[in-house]
Amino acid sequence: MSDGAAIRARIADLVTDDDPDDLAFVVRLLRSFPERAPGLLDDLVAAVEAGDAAAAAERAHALKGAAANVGVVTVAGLCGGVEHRARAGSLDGAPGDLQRLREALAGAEPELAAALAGCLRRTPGAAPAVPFTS
Amino acid sequence: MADNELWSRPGTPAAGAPAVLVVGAEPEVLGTLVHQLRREYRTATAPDGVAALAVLEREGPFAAVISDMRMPRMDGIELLGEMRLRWPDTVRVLHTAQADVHAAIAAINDGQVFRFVQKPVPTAQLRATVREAVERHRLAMVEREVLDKTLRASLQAIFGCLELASPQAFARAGRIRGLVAALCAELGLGDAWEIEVAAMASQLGTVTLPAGVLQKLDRGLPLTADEQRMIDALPSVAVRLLGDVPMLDDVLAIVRGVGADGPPRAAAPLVTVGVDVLRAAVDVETLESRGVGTPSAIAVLERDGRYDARVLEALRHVRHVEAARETVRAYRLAELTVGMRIVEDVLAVNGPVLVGRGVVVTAVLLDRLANYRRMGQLAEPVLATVPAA
Repeated sequence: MSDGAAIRARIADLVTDDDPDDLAFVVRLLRSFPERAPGLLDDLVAAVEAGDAAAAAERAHALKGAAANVGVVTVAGLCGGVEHRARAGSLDGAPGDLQRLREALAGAEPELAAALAGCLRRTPGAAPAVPFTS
Repeated sequence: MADNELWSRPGTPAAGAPAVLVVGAEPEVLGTLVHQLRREYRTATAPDGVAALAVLEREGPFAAVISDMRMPRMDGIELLGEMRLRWPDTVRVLHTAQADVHAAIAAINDGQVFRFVQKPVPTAQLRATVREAVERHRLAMVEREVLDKTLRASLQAIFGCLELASPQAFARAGRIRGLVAALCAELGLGDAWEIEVAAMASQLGTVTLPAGVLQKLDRGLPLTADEQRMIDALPSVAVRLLGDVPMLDDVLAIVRGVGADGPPRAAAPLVTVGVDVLRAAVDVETLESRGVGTPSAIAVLERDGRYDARVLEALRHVRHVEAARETVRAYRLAELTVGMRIVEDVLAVNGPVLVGRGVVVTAVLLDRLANYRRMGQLAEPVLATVPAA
């Protein structure tokens, strides 16, 4: 499933009948993830650069959970691979994974922005969508 | 977390809605679970296992807990294992990533966990799982109430017979039970009624002992080989007497474990800790009966090496606190009041024990003692302590 489809499916699951509480929650979730994700990725990069496989596994797990929670399945999948190998003590191939993760995160941003705009349109009296800061 | 307010925003559950604890390190994930459950349940959150135990202690009881598997400090499996022991009625649900499914299934098969849900869990599935968990908790509570009302009353009747048959044995059982209860409270096992009942049950067999042997046991005097065999057989008497009573499997496993000098292999955690607590309580009681002071008795157990270190630590604390609270005084019978504790055997003038030491004074006991006094059979004064305020 693409990020766009997975994000829309997750929103559909979390929002019942355009409930304003549900929409407000999802709006904040869709703003919070792109704000936090770069920091989580930086933490993962630092652990990989330090050669600390245990820390890399923990940080990949954290980013994986946050990404899966909003439907960013490409990032979650890549993190899952890094985590799996790091738990086995290996950081082989991690630099390439990190590069792909950066790209996947950048690729998900427009999808998240579109989803956010869609939710804001369904929210009566909501402020217009605010672009992500990168 | 960038925005704490988001995650702590209260939902609108009905008053008295069941409480659910949600545990996980990821704030967004935690907040989403809380949001998904907010209408039907009161929710609390904790970022890891250690914090969750503190919340359970402070804010409980909870009907259910949903815990992530991988967390810093204490992971989900360890947390739910600890909860099984300390809050057995809180139903446990594991929230896992796909990669951890095998570990989650193993946890279910071990009895640590009721269900697991996979991340990201769809709302309908989460709500259905928590609804089932909460229903299971409700049934456990109903069962517990039945247990309280019928099983405990039945057991009390059995122990009441012990009191009539042998005041001395009953008092010894009561002292052991009191110490076990204090140790359980100290170890955070306040809900583990099985250990306390096992303490009483372990002494039921004393009704089969000849008076002389009971006297020796109560005073901690040396026993012959034949007498020791009688003492060793006591757990099997309890097992025979209580073997057919439903819901006492863990109680009897604890009694057997103390008799066999250790829990059976692969015993439930409750049985293992129950054996540790009860064995330490019985052995300290025996040493103290022999006139060994409490610090020396605990030192003997420490040197032995077979006793659990946490239990010994609790024992030191409990005995120290008790000692600090107690002031022993001599009372005439007319001065005794309900709630005082007898600290020395009350003897008939011709010798037999009328009330064993350690028994708490009740209205019925005062009536009984008044009868003995009227018949001129009671030796006064009586040594007793006033309960701590």
